[in-house]
Amino acid sequence: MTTAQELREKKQTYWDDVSVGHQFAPLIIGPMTPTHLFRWSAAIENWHRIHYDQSFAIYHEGLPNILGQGSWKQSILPRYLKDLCLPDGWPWKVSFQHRAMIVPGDTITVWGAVTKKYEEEGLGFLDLDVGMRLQYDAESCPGRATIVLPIRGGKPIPYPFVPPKKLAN
Amino acid sequence: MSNAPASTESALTPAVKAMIGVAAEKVEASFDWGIEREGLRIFTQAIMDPDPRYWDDAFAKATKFGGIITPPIYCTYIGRRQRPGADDPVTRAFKENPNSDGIGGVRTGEGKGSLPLVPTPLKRILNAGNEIELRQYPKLGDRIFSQAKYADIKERVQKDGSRMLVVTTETIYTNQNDEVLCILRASQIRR
Amino acid sequence: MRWIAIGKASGWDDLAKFTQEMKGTAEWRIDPKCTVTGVYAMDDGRMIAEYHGPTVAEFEAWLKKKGWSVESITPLRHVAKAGDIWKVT
Repeated sequence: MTTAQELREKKQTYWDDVSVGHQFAPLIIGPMTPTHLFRWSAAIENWHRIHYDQSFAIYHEGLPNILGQGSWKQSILPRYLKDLCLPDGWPWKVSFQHRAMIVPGDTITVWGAVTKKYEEEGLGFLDLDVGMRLQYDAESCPGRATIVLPIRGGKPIPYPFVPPKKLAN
Repeated sequence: MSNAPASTESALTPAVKAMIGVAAEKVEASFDWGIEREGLRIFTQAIMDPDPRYWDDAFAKATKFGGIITPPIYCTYIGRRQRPGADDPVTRAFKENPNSDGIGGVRTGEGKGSLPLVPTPLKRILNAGNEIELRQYPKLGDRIFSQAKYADIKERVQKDGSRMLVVTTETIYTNQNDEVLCILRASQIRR
Repeated sequence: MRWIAIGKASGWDDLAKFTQEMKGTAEWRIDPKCTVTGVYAMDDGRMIAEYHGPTVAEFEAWLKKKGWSVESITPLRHVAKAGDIWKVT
């Protein structure tokens, strides 16, 4: 897990220094516990019993245990990308699907690997495969992301971020 | 088992196609006081992100963001919170159904900002994935507005010939200055 | 469907061995649909395991893999857990 001090002092990764195939340092989270799941449900006021009521999850829903929330997963991936881009890059977008369920006891490795590198309107883009892998090698959240990293000697990444016309949805 | 019609009938009927581009009313997702420190603290601790950009005013002011920032995805949860003064929806849900799953009968909003239902007999819904596009970080005090629309509806034919729909809903989150904060695209399979 | 198996598993009366056999997610989650949701080690040396899945075949295979000598496997009808009542057939 990263610390506040590490995020304060985070050194910029430049687009120039990254190649296709580069694997970013993973973020390890866990082991997850029922308390982690309960804390998230409370934070976003999600009262679905499958996330905190084990008896309901197992006997009513036929689940293996209470489940890690999909909404939590979809908040972790952008957080990971934000950390990769700090201080001056931009975690532009991420798409993903939900696969293996997360249950208490699971440890999650959030990962990202560069699949494409390109420049557009003077900005350095990287396409990534991303995911959240569990300790028994099951992929919980496979996805794709695009981040923008500064180019040495290049122009600053605009903030608020405006995607180049050619790349916008 | 799918509720799909016979394989010769398309599920992408004219009535379904007519939903593409349909937008809901733009609504305010936040409460009157907007993004505030305590909600931000609880959220960022629940995602275990200790980033000082979320809580250290002096540090955050010196960054390119000029002040405290908020994870943009926070916008997407703000609207789900229970409004002050409403009847307790959890108590009501379990009174209506002692076996409530905790959300089935929990109605926290008035339905404003909701899209009309897609007119299809395909009732089984599966999450087909999400995409989040970020433009800027919400700031403390920002009020958050959301507007949803059906961005696309496609048909897929399964191996057994039955049809399913992939419905993509796009929700744009803006602040009080109408600046885009983030865009959430959620895809559902209907089969 | 939910089943209970009663039997014996050598060494599982030792907590360290029991933990090794049942702690990791992969030890008790057979596959996305089949889960051994509970195991009880009784004082007389017998074991009880609770399983849910679409068929009992995966449970039988798990018990064999784990080295159990199985006395019986019986479907469950209903369960009471601290005041919550569940019909599980």
